[in-house]
Amino acid sequence: MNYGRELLKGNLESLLLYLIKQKPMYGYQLIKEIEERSGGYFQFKEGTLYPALHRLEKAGLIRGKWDRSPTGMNRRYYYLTEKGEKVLAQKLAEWRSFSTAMNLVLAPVNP
Amino acid sequence: MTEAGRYLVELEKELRLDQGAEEEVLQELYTHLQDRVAEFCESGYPREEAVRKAIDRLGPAKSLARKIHEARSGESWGRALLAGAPHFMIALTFAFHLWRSAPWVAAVLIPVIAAITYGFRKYKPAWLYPWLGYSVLACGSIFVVTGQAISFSSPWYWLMSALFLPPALWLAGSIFVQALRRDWLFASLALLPFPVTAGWLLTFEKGLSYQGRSFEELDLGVALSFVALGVTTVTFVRLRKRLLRCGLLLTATLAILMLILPARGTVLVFLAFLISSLLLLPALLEPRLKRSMEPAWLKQVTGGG
Repeated sequence: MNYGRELLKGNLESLLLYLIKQKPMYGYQLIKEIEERSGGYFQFKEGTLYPALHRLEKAGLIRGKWDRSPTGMNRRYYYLTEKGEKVLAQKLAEWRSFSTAMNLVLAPVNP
Repeated sequence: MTEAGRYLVELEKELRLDQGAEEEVLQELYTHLQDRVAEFCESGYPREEAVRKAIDRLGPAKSLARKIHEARSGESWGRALLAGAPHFMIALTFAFHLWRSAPWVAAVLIPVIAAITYGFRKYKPAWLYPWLGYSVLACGSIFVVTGQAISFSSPWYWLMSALFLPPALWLAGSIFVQALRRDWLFASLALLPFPVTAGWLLTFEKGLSYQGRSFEELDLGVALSFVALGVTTVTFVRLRKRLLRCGLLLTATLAILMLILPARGTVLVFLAFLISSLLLLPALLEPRLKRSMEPAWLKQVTGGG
């Protein structure tokens, strides 16, 4: 099992909420943004993105709305809801505590 | 049909969402494919290969549709209770011996009609199907009750039947087809009150003193069986996994019927077979209907292309 893929799977929803908070985006745009920001490290089956987006929408954390993109095409943009903002803040706080603890444990011990 | 069109058709077969949500999902995935194909074409791939690669990035249609279905199904508690409401209303009718009261029966029919009208305008949400089942049952009940009131041998009854039966059958048939177009499991959900009602009718057929008890004494049993149906429906609507939903419908209906009818041994096996056949019948009919509706929605999603 690919460890990196598993890590991404576990944190995909946080990543999506964070990116949507920056600006409303549509599915394809989110994939490109994640790939770009991670320097190509995060590459996942695109089929996992849409179920995750629909899960977040069902939970009321994001809201989908059809808008015209700059190219003139209709795209389903996702917006962060108030509830989504709260959940994102919690998830980010948890992630920061977790990564700090991981770094402390994995840091080289000076003799 | 293009390869992208075939992929979307395959997706649609497994999505099983309400009409509005389904079109939205398909349109979203179609625009995604358009973007990916354009990107691959810009990188120098021939169009056919670009389409194939874009589809490959999305993964198998069946698995993607199943994941989206699971992500979007599983209703809130409010909607789940709304789905169970008609069963609870019937339970209330029997618990308080209100089935003889014409105003109460009329008061029950009004929310049924209102819920169905509202549900149809809302792209047939999951909570609507138990209400649809009761509307068919109500049509049948009116037919039987009228027959008893004016005598089955009366020419008036047969004249009324000739006028009433065709539209009633048409209504029942169209409701069944509507449910099948969404998801055969919802057609089974709509059928849920039928075996239980039939079970009680068989019990009542034994006469006024079934096991030494009167109709009124049996009312509590009837009420409890409909409460059980309500709880089954609420659980069904809350669940996300199709397999669990299917198992729940079969086992709960069988369990309720076993409590109503004192069935044992071979009778029990026969009963299990009968219930499974009734509730799984929509699964056999669904593929025929799904096939007949492909072109219309595909045209809508791809804009005729």
